[in-house]
Parts: sequence; structure tokens; C-alpha cells
Amino acid sequence: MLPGMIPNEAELTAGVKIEAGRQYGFFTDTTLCIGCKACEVACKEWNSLPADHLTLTGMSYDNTGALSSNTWRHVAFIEKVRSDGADGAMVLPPFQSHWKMMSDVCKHCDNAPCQEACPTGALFRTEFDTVVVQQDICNGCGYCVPACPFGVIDLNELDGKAHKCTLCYDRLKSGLEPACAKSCPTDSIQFGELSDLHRRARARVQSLHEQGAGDAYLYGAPGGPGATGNLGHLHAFFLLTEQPEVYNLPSAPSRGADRVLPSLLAGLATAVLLTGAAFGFLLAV
Amino acid sequence: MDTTTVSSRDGIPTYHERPAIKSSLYGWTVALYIFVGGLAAGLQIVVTAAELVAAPDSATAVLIGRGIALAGAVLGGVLLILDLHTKQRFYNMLRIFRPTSPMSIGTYALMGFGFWSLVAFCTQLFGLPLVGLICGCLAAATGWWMTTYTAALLSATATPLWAVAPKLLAVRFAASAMSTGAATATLIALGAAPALVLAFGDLAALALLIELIASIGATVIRRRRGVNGPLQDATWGPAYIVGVLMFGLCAPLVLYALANFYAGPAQAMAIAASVCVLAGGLLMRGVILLAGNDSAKRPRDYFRFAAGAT
Repeated sequence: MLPGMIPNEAELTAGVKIEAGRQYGFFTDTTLCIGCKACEVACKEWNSLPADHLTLTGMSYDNTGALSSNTWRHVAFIEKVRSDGADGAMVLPPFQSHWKMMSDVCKHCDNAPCQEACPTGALFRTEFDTVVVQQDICNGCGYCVPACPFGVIDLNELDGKAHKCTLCYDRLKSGLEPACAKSCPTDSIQFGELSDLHRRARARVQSLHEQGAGDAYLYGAPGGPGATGNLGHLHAFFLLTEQPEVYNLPSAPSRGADRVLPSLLAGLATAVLLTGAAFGFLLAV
Repeated sequence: MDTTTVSSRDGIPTYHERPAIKSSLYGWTVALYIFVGGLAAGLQIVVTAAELVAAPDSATAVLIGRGIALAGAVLGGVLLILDLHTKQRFYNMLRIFRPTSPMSIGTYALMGFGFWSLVAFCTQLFGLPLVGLICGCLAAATGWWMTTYTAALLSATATPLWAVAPKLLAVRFAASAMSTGAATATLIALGAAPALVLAFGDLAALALLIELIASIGATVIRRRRGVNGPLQDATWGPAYIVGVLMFGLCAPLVLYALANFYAGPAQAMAIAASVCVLAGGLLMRGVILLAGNDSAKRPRDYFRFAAGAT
């Protein structure tokens, strides 16, 4: 038995020392995902999250369905079929068994719309450059929920607070790799310092291209799809082999806060104009 | 090899037809708040203008208007707290000011509007007309924000129906706040200041006209971007087209116009028009909110919106 916690355990499990003031994130390589859902289970166990629903969705092996207030990792299952409806199992190349799997998670956006929408400051940016809801401050106004361009953050109507992935804030503080990344048996989910992850991801794309998987690309890396509309880069970014919508991701998400000023100016101009008209009509009496 | 994924029809693939974003949890409580807050602000602006130009026989109407505006601000605050999912922490709204969040901007707009409306009403009631007027002006100025921030709040979300035309949604909300405020002022004036009925009616009509033009413009944008579905489908289409556009905008426009030309039944027409404006203003907020929640459930609407956003 260990005498206690291993100091800086992430150095052993992910090759990274976790220090305040640096940027951390996830690189999720969907070509390595085998759909085992170990990330979903590890996340639920570590964060004491209850089961969401115990029914079958009836659409695929995905009975989790979506990210929610109780589900912070969600493995998507996308089946490749022949577009003419013919039986693909006999004729399609066996790459990834005709299944695309992708473990989705909060993107921890650089300009996070949920945080920018939060009126209480419950949503804040941590010393690891991640985005976390402070449960003792959230008053359940629910504005972050429609603000998220990825449909991640969700309100739990039982406790009346917003919840989402914390990128295992408590584990990071103790030098531990986040639970999902640590549990991932294929290293589809990699945790690390963002600049290092970007480097590794670009090398992986190049290697895949060389192996003949020419459709591999990064979603959410600086300057690429997903890191659009002033969101900045995504701290959880992905290697995909289909267009983003296939994985339920928007091709060019945008930052809602950029719409505030034009909207306010147009509305104020209208109200001021009509106030002027009120003076006009009343003076004519 | 010609391959596709299971749910790739209509050119845009989806993930098993499931929503790509989450709908807001806002419903009729919030719709009622947007309506009441806008009306209170519009009314405060209109009666302050009447007081500033010293419109004939306006003193009683101004006092009643300020009273209703104050009641609206209080009711608005209550509605917003009722809509929180952890109501006992409502005061956390005042922990910070966040200029990127229209919810935060609105918190202070409502606080300021309520405060100045309270002081303006009380000072006027207890015979300090000059102080009342100054506070009324401050209430009206914060009222400008009240008429419009709710549109910015909806537009700053990822919901396609709300976010696709941020400026026009704000024009519509601000114009509706002014038209419902002017319609309420018309009803007050019918009893307390008959000389001002037509002036308030004309203001409401102008606001309706602006709202109608902005609504048509917004429809064009929504259709071009492929996100108009929820406002033309069976659930909200009839309520939007018949209720909001016909009954709430076109009908009162005609009635106010008629009231200008026919001296006899002018009163009845002004009452009917005002009732249409008020009902239409509430319905517009409700339909936009609930149809917006539906639009967030349509992955293709969101993907079309998000693809065209940059």
C-alpha cells in the first residue's frame, strides 16, 4: 500500500507537471477511440455524478445521448453506411470497423460564452486556464445554458445549479491527471499542457495523412475549424475524420458576446428615436 | 467508396437528429417579464416626455403612469427571482458587473430603473414636483436600457432564432416596449387627460410601424439563413402570423389611423387598438421565446446558423 498520495502523479501518468499559471487541456484523438466509455464511467465515479437516464435511445450503441448536468463526458457513436443503402459491412474498407467514436467534453473555450454570460461570476477561469462553475455562487439563472455554442453546460433542476466538466479542477490542484484521460485505455484522450498537445496533435495528423487517412484534421486548434467566431482556441480540441456536424459539432461556432453591442445600440437608437417622436407628438397637442 | 453516416440527409449531417445545443429553460415567466419591463420603461419615458413639455392637464396621467411604471419594475423583479432555480441566492446577481453579459447589464438596468421610478413616484406624490421630474428623467434614461437589453440577452445566446438578427430583434423589442408603453398611456389619458389620447396613439402607431418593418426584415434574414422553421410550422406559425403580426401589429395600426380621422368612435377605437397592442406585445415575447427554444432543438437550423456566422 502507498504511504500517501504520489506527489505530481501526472508526471507519471501523463508526462506533465501541473502548475498554476499554465494552460492545460485535452486532445481527443477520435481515430484512437474504441467506444469503451471508460471516460464516462471514470468521470461519473470521480465526480460522484448520478446516472442520467436508464433507458435505451434506440439509435446506436450510444445510450448516454448527450452531455448534461450529470454527464460530462459523452461518447458519440457514428456508423458509416453506404449512401445507396447497400450492405456496407461486406464492401466498406475495414478502417475503424465502420464506426466513428468520439468522446465529447466541455471545450473550455478561450473566450468562453458561458463564462461571459454568467451574471454572478459563478463561472470563472481557473489558474489552469480552464472554466469552472463555483457551486456555492451559482443561483441557477440558466443563462449559460443557451449561451454555450456546443450545448455543453446544463442546469440540474434538482439542485438548481449549472454543472459541467471542471477539467477535474480538484485533481489538477493535487497534481493528478483528469479522471477521463487517466482512464482512457487507448490514449484517445490525452491531457497535457496546451502548447505540447497542439504539437502532438499536429504530428498525429501528419502521421495519419502519411498512412493514407487523408481526411484527418484538428477541430478547435488555433486557427482551425471550431476555433472560430472570436471563441479563440478550444482547450479541449479534437482530431476528426468527418465534417464537424457528423459529431454534432458546429463548423464555425461564434462568441455570443460579440452580438451584444450591435444589439444594444440598435435597440437604444430605436428607443431614443421614439422618445424624440413622443416630444414631437406631445408638443403638437 | 461512396459512403455516408446514418443521418446525413438534406445535405447537412446531424448526429442521429439530436439537438446540437441546449434550449433555454425560459418560458412564460420570462416572456411576461420582458413584456412588463418593456411596458413599464416605455410608459415611464412617455409620461416623462409629457411632463417635460408641460402637456395640458397631464399631471394626474403622469402620476398614474409613474405608479404603473413602478409597479411594473417591482413585478419584473419578482418575476425574475421566481424564474431563478436557486431563488434564495438572487442577490448574487449583484456580486459583479459583467459587460459581456446582458443578464448582468439588465440586472443593473432594472435596479436603476426601479430605484428612480420609486423616488420619482414618491416625490411627486408628496408634492416635490421638480425632484419628481428630475428622478423621472433618470428613470426614463435607465428605461431606454430596459426596453432593449432583453433582446441583446436573447441574441447573445447560440439559439439560432434569437441570434440570427441581433439588431432587428433589438429594434423590435424596443419598439414594442414603446408601443405598449404608449398604449397604456393612451388608456390612462382616456380617463385622465383626454387631450393627449391622440398624441399617445400616434406614438404607439409609429412604434408599431417600426416594429412591423423590423419584423419583416427579420423574417427575410431568418428565411435566407434557413432558421425560420419554428415561426412557420404548426406549433407557433399561426400564433406568430395571426396573433403577433396581424392582431398585434397590423390591426392596431389601422385602428390608430382611423381614430385620427373619425371623431365619433375615436375613443372605442383607441381602446381597441391599445388592447391589441398590449396583447400583441405579450404574445410576441412569448412566441419568440418558446419558438426560440424549439429552434435550439433543430440541429440543422443551428448548423446553418453557425456555418454562416463567420
